[in-house]
Amino acid sequence: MTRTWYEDTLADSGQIVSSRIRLARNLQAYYFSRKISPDQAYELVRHAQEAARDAIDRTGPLSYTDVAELPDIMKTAMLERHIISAEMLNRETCGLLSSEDGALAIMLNEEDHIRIQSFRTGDDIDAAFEVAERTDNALEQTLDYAFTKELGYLTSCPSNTGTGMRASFMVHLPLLERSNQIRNIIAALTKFGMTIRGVFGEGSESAGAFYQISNQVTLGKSEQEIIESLKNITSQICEKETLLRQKALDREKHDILDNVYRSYAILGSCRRISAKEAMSLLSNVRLGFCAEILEKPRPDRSLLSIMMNIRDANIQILSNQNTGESKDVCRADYLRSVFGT
Amino acid sequence: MLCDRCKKNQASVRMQQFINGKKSEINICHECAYGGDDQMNLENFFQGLMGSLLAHTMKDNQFVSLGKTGKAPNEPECPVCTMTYGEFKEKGRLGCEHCYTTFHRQLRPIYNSIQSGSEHKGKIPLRSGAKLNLERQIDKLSRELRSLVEQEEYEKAASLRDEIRRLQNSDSHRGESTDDKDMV
Repeated sequence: MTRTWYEDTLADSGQIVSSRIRLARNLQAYYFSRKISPDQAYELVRHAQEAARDAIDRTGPLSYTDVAELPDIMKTAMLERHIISAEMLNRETCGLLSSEDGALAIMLNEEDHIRIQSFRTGDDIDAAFEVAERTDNALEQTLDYAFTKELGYLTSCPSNTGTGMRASFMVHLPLLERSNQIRNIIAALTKFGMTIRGVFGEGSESAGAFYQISNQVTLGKSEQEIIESLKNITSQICEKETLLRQKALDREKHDILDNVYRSYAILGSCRRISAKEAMSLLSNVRLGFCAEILEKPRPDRSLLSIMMNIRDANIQILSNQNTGESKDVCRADYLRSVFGT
Repeated sequence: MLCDRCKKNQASVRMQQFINGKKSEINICHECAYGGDDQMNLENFFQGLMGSLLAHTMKDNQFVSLGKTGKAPNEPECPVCTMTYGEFKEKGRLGCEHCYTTFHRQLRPIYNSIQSGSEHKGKIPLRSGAKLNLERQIDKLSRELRSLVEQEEYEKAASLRDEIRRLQNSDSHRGESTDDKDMV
């Protein structure tokens, strides 16, 4: 069985956990999502599927999931893994075309008619862009996109028009978060047309110091300019994190070692654990592995995949909902199976 | 300082807006700025921001949307999908591609404040935009040509001029061949 893209342990090797490109596209013949009728929506999804079938030699095989027909828990699990958007949870007609490893996922009849998402583990945004671009070109051979010379790709929300592209890195910044410097970075990034926000947390929180840095600006800059700015900003943030880590390891090595080893031990022996606590412990373990101070067996799958698997809907599916155990108990069982000796 | 949006939490993010050359600031809390963990929250954030931006920029806001019950007589409405400006302002989403033309005047401040200008500089669709791609290439070379002439680099300029002519000819041939194809 093919592993999903986020199981690749490359995701655990540096501060950049993963890279993502998302392209928003709309078709000329249909109203945007606010105004589209149920019949039009059905036809749009069929039309896009047909285009994807014609493009198979360039995109590789893609399987179709009728998202609207899935049970709620499956939809939530996909949302937790960032494969679909919250917008799709309550849609009557929507679908997902995805590659076997999930690294290419095309949302149909989302906020925009088509949203091409391309994921890569680690620092690999150019490869993610290459796949998204190739897919876009292949679909465009038979689809007529809503596009003007002045405003570029026309999107449902005018804040996405132009390139229609969001490029993003998921980064792990435990020291910047601990020192509270992350707040200054959040405030400063808007000046550069970028934004940074927590991922994996409940509500507004970031859990485990995982953040997503992405472009806000989509109009007036080319795709390459946007990606280069994002790389530049992200590398500066990561450098700052590295400096703080070095300082912390110089000054308080034993505290950090204690924290990292305790976290590993708890993950391997807990009997009941909340998602929030588990994320915090996994964050410590990740820091330990990345800084090469934790001499313990690495899990056979990426920490990123473990973080996705322990979220509420995913852990319920993974541990078979019929057991009747609480999510916190199921989560602990799963984590022991990964970290326990 | 309390958040300008929810009026509950302490503001931690300062957003500067330049609207029609005029600088204004809003201070919002972390929750309002980056609330939620799903992928689409940034857009939700923009929708809220857009409402306030539009409210600020429409100095000549003579019309008042009546929402579902109807619209003010002079409120812009898309002739294709019937979306009114009030609906857009409320939801932050447009109804169809023609809304961009209908609400052009109202949308411009958004581009100027949250985007990097109002002219697309990115990719052009390969098939449907083949002509545009060529035009863009010709525009780029023409700018280079002007610069070479200014620098009195006449030899290089002449070669560039020939290249531009070649592209212009291929453009007109492309047009002919497309027409032929359409006629067949």
